[in-house]
Amino acid sequence: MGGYLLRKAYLLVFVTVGVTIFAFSLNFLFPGDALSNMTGLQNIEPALAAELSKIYKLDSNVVIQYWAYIGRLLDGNWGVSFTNGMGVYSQVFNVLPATIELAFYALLYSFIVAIPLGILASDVRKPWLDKPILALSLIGFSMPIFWFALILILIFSINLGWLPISGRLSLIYEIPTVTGFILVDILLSDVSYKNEALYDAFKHLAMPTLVLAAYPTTVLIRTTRQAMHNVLDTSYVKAAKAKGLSNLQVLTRHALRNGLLPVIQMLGTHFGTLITLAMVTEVIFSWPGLGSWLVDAIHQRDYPAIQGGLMVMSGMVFIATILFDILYMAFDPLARRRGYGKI
Amino acid sequence: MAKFRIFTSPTNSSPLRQLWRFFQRNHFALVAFWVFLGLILISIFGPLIAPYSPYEQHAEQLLIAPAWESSGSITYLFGTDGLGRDILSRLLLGISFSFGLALVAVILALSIGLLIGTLAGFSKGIRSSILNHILDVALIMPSLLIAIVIVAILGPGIDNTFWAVVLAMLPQFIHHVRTEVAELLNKDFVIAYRLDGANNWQLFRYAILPNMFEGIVIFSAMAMSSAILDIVVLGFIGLGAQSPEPELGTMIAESLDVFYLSPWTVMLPGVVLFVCILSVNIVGDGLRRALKDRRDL
Repeated sequence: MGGYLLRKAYLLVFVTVGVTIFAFSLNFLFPGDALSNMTGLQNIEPALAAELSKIYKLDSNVVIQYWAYIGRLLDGNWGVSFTNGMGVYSQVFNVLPATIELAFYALLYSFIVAIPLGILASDVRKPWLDKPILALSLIGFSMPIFWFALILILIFSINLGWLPISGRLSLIYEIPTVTGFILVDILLSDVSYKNEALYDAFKHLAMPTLVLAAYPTTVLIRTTRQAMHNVLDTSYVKAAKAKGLSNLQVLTRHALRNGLLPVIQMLGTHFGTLITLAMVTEVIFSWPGLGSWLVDAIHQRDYPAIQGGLMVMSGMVFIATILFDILYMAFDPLARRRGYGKI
Repeated sequence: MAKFRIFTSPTNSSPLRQLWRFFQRNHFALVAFWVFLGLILISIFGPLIAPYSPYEQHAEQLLIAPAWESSGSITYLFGTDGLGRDILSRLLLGISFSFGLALVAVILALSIGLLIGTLAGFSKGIRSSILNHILDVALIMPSLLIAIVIVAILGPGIDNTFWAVVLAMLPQFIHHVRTEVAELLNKDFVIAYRLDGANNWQLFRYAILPNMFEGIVIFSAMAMSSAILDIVVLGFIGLGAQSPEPELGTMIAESLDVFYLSPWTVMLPGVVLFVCILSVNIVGDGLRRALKDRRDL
């Protein structure tokens, strides 16, 4: 395990260096002046430009420039946005919690829905359940996420008028931002309309969560079904059955524990897709998260902001993938013996 | 005493034919396959059979309902959009933008991936280890995110979207081909081939490629569904094909303003898109199952 962790730590370092080099090179790849892209200042006067390029080490070679860039990243000096002149660093970390919150609830929801469905589909005594569930998952998998969102909006917001279309919270409630996670913030706040605000926040969450959960749910159903099939075939499950355990006992004591291991692995490999889908969901529902912020930045050609947003987003995906991988190894001794720290 | 030896005649059909036989047994997959072929035909000949130009605006015919509604008219089978453009014509061209372009992108990424992946599979030592690490990083990044980065660098537009999708898919193809080649190179029959004096090219052409072919086709089918989604999502969030182009995602995004007034302007492109992706997914699934059945034979 120690060696494995070491290898993962090494991979993490490699990945971090890779991401920062990539973000650094974006300064030069984007159209426009590299100095403007780094600082976020447009139309810099020559005197200021000379001074700035001394500070930003633009007169030295690339390695030193990169080193200075890393130093600035660590200081939290990520330049300012072209459009509003505010620091990119503070903006990114202001909008990040909303994205994490949305992704987290969607994952939670897909767990609650998909794992029982996957187990049901794997049940050999109920073969008539298998095909409909699989067909459902195939349909869900093929449904373009934004189209699904629009159908839901048409039904629940326009025709029925039950759910709000956009945002995280109705404007009539004012909740002070502490953590950035809306539900936590409401619970922490001491306002008189706590319950109403909570109810409103849930109503705002319902559709984005459902839309974002569509993809992980379908993948999870298939993973669970396949994993349960494999586990129910093993000799230790047969032994447990032969011992006289009931189906429920077999499921909870033996099958589920081993059957859910691939689910952790699947979470790792699909986390990146989940985050990009979260981006699309945010754009549709005007959810004030990293994704919609980044898309706005791309539309406005706000290069410092694009750079910061991309770095945080890909960094988040990398770290989550590696963490899930470590988690998988921690839970599954067999995978540990197989050893190779592949992603 | 006469001895009769009656042999059951072995089925000597080629592996491909066997695969087709297993594939045919799955009726859903077969229907999806015909739909898939139909979509390819439409994406080639669609613009020719379109009744109107997809860009032509009929100023006095705005937001006409589809023909099956009581207020619809048969001259515009699927109705018109907010600018009076015939939706059927736009959908026909849209299929070639979203579906046809994705197919071309997959084929291109496949060819490049086959080249680089094979070279990487044959190489050993430090070179392959460097490539491994780069691939590790590139593979964690979801393809849509890579495509967004590339579009952010190149700027929006349908041609840039195409290149972004190709480049974003490339690491997966390289990785897939590389692992398959590396695996096959360790197989006994390949080693026997090498001992017979085959050089690398002959090894690749006669021993590796035929054995890799089917796996690649299935992998491409999976990649194709994500390529369609990438193109369409980029179009939808405004980074892909730009406004007058009838790309399906762009069409949906464009019609959002009139969504409440005339839902068909959003629903029809959505249904077409859904059919495209569903047919690709079912074909991919069916192929995979057929391959598994043949292996279990």
